[in-house]
Amino acid sequence: MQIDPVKYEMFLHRLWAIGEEGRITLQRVTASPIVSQGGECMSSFYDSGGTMVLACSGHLRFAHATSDAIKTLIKWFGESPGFYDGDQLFLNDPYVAGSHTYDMMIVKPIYYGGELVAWVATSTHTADTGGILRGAATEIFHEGIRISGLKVVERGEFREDVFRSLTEQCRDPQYVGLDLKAMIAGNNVCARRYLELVEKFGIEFVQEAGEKTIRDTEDMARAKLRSLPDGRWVSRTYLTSLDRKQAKAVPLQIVCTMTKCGDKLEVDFSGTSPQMANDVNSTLPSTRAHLGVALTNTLFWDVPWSDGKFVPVKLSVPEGSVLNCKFPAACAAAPVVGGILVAAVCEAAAKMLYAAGRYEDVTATWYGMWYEGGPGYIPAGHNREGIRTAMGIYDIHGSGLGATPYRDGVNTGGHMNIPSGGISDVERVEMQYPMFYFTRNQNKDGSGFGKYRGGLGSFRILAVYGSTDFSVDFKPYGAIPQGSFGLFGGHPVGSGGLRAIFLTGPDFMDRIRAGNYPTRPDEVSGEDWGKVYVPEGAPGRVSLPEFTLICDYVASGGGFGDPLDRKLDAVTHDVKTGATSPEMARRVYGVVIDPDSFSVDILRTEALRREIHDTRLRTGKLARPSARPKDEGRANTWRSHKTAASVLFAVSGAGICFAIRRRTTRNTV
Amino acid sequence: MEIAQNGSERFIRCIRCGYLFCHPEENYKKYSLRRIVDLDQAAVRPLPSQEPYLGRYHEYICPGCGTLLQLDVFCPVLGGEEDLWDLRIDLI
Repeated sequence: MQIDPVKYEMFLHRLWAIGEEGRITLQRVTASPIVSQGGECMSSFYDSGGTMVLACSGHLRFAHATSDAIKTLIKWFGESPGFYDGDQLFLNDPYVAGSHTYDMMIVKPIYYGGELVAWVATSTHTADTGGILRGAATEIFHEGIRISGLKVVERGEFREDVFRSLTEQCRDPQYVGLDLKAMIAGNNVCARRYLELVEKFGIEFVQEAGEKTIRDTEDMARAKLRSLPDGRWVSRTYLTSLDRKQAKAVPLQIVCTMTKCGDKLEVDFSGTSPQMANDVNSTLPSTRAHLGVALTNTLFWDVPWSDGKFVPVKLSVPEGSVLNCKFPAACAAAPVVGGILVAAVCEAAAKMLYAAGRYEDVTATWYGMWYEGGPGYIPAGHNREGIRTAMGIYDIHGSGLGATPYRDGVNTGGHMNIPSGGISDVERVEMQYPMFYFTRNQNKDGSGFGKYRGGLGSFRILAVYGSTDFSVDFKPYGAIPQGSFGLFGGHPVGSGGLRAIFLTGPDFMDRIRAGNYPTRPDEVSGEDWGKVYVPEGAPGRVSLPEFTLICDYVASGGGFGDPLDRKLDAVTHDVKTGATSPEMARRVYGVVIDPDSFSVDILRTEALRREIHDTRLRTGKLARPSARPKDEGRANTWRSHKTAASVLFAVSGAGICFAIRRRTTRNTV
Repeated sequence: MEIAQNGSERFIRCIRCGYLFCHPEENYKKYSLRRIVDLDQAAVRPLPSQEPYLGRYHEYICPGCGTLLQLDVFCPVLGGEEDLWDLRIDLI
């Protein structure tokens, strides 16, 4: 069929708008904070075989995951019990699709003229699944309901029996139930609108346009790959996990080798650490979905969000690794593992894009954490109204973004997984949970330092309030930066965050009533608000008494370029606004600033920067000397290799170096 | 850094000072000055548990001009390639 290009554009834009309407419907029908505020949901369209035609701006890993779900449902249940007009099927099995049992999806076949012509799907990251509370599972059977396909709506009739059987397994049946009904509502909106498109354009056109979208996306992805240099980029990022035998945190690594040749891309995770005996694991579908997130955001952001873009991509993951765990390994922390995977892929992709001269697409990490461990994001307990709560608080959506070749990262810019995500609303958290906030603010010294620094991310100080059975997940401290990378001299992450539990004294409420409260992590210990509490062993979760303080922070952005190249006024501004402490300004940027007047001591700054520079040259060890004389590269006979790939990475640029007279005149830029 | 050419010969070169590191088929980090910085030194404060940090920073510095070219996290406990060869471009 010949597709009219104007009609096709009308169709594609309309389909995108319908997906957005489905997602917005979902967010408005439910009230669970993670979906309604956090935006962890998705609406997406698939062809009759389950290949994704288009996803909206929701949680990107769901879009790729649901493709796996539909294809598996067709294979398993296409014959028996079969699918019928008006059916909607529920699935939350991370060994089939998605990251963990909390990733719930409902898919709906769309019928026209008695034939199945397409699928629509909605997904949510739901509050609870029953099972053991987060932090203690050692196999998937501990992680609550795990459904591999169940009709929650059958031939248009809502199955109250199925609905109750699902929700009553959970601690939070109200929120889980709202999420389920919201997904059904989102599907109904999308399916109805899709059929309106069929009425408007005709079924033949709509189906052919869907296939064209998938084909075009593959063509555009291949064209994008052809525009990049061939080569191999390797990254290595770390995370930590509890080792129960040692009762402490152990480091794990994710190694990503990205090989680009012509219009093909191979991503190989060989060298990645083995799977764990706890829930810090990712199933293969989760790894595939997170690779989809990373590539959508870096290489393929400018092509339609359909499955076509992954046809040129080959994925290799060692079985039994933390990225391809064997059944029945627990995997509740798969999104955390997935975040580190995304960082690893993004680092390799950033260096590839830089070599191609696509500087606007280059960014350092959005997932940097100075260290993990301590109190987690999943509190639980009855609140002041006696209602059981068991869900995460999603301040993590206020992460810092990575620096780029031209500018600092956004301080609290969002989360790479969810273009349309939002941060938790403090007032609603305080209303729903047995806790209140003293502060949520930008994390001083949180960003990766550099010529351009990363976004700071945020920290918070919370107090337990109004519960007799409050608990929070707790991990031993992982003593290494995770998910972090800087680019071309930029630091991988800042070191300013604090994650700790503080037990308070009997005068705590008296001080609060007097109008005092801590607003910075250092004030908690510095002003004697509480004493650090580190549980013995590896409890998984810890019960905490009333008025306990919890300090933690979220991910921040990596830096770009040598910190000594950061402009003096930028460092001064950072210190004035509290982004950087005077101490780190001195240690990392070599800038001496009076902490009270914020005036810069120019002479001492020049001397300090020269000292840092000279120390590098004096104390750095050379493994192999260059075969060339030191000055030969300046000779006119040496010229830049004239290919798009000639610039490996940037070291040039103006900055404070104007004021700092480096040893060689050519070094002063 | 960039790849520079002199006749048929190619080298990785510092854009800022012209220092020639190595052929593009080699790992430039091996030809850089490397400084190891313990994370305890880089930290603003110790861990709440007072345990030591596990990893370290590897700073790679241009021997010609002292520019910090790359800063990697490395975890000796896990081993692996110390000077991770992070980019290899296939030149035509």
